[in-house]
Amino acid sequence: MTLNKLTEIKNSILANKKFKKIKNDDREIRLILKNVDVIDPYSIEEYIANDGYLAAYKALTEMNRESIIEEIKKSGLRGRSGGAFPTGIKWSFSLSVEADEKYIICNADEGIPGDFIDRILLEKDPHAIVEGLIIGAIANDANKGYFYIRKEYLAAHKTIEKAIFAARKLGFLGKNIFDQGYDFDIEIRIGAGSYVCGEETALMESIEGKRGTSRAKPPFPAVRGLFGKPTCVNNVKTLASVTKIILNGAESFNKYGTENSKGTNIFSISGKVKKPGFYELPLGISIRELIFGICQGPLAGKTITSVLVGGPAGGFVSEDKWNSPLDYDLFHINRTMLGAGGIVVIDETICIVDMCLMFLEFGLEESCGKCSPCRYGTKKQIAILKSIIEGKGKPEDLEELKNLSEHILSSSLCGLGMSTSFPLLSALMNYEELFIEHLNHKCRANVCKCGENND
Amino acid sequence: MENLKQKNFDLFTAYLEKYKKQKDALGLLLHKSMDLFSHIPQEIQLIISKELDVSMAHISGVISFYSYFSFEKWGKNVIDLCTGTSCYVCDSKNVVKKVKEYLKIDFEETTKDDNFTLLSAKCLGNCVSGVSMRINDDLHENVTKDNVIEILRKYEVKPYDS
Repeated sequence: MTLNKLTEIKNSILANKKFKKIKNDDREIRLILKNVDVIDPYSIEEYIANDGYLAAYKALTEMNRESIIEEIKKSGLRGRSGGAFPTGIKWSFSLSVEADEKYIICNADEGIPGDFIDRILLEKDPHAIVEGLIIGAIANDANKGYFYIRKEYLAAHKTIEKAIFAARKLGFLGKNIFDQGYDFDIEIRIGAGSYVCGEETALMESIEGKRGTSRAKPPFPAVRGLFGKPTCVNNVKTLASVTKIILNGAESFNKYGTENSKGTNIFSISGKVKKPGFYELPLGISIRELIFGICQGPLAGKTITSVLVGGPAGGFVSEDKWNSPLDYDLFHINRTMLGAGGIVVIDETICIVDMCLMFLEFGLEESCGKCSPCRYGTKKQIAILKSIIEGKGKPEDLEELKNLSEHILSSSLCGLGMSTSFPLLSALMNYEELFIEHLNHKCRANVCKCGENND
Repeated sequence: MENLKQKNFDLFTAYLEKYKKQKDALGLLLHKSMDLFSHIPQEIQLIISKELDVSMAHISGVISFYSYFSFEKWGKNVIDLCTGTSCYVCDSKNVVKKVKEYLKIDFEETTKDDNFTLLSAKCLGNCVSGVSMRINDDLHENVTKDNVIEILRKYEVKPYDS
């Protein structure tokens, strides 16, 4: 496959079809979402017509491992799944590791309730992710890649499978890709309904055909990962961003965003707002602008009481912080994670205390059970919180909950155990008065049966 | 020996052919068994154990870990009711209550007539139009406690409240 062939396909499509630009809001900057709702996800030709596979070609012909990693470092791209680890640095780990086989995995196990951007990208622009995986493979010197897609995303299984098939047919995957003497192929693995499998070490266990329990780190996956070989795991949005960065250069990406959080991020907003949906915006935008500007504020006659950022791994953000910019570092300071950009807005009809219970129950159900802080600690938290919700709480319970959460946070093996306590801790920090009201048999939202007469 | 349909059994063994001795194919084979038999019968577990050279204990461990693998046979229609964050905000709690009362089953159980199996999904990634409920391959959006029974009725043989 030469550049001429790519251009030929592009021109033949463009001769018959004009692609529109689509935005959900005028303020959006669509770098990563450029093709979403514009091209037919099943047509590799339409993707090529929008400069598709040009980045992978460029990475193979004009660049080498070092220069790809350098470009990604320069762009300031940080992992888009929640950990926010700089992608360029992650990739550079593989440079010093020698092995006969290396792997790259696309983590499409988007399990965080409230996040759905990965699904949108997988379903509507699958080739961008396949291309990102090819570029990642070149940078990490991997000859085999995996897509780990969660079971729930039925439509995405089909789009990715078709995309891989079409790419293979045109010689972008398989032996001697783009006729450049490099071998790379991709296999799909479907999850089976386990949230913890989104954690990279649990994900690798799952691909190996085992229970999805987390592994202790170190050794880090870059040294010993899948089947004991060096492995790089990247999120869907990260890989889609990589494609655009290599295609248009680091500057096209890092001109947006803040000092430490470069580029655009795709926010998925759901819950009690007039215009929920997904929007690609520069990092650094404030919650207030996002919720009241772009999503047009609360439903008629209601008041927004809190905003949940990052789902069960994030936390409740109170009104005094809605003006601060949404970026990765600030959110770490506030004890909440920006996560993958999923934001759920709640109003006065929702009880935050009851919602915390829902998150803890979720954490317990999805705990892999390997380490005891997560397995037992969450159980204990639930028991205490339930007694508060049922109106049987004691004032010292709140202190106990805080202590317990801090211990679970510091002693769990993996990110799941660490993050399960985030919503509860942030609620205790920002909305302690609600918990005290429950101790006094009152639930503002009228959700909990904590009244004195409820036995 | 369980009474498995010969045709599906042949399909399974043909699929297995590709993955002999490949231990990491366990997940793929279990998915295949779910597709063909709506559960993972012991007979199939024994075959997998032999052909992939993994212990029965390992297979049981994997099946019990993941929510989309089951030892018990699932019903004709599988309900994935989303109980994620956004759907919680859209009152999924009451939808769940209603469905459980109507079908007289809890999560991960099957109705007496083998028509429905109820699963709790987290989440279906359809957060803008919650509550989301998927029955087999059909996605139902904006489900409420008031319209959920009507949706279920489309899949039932005879009403559960008669």
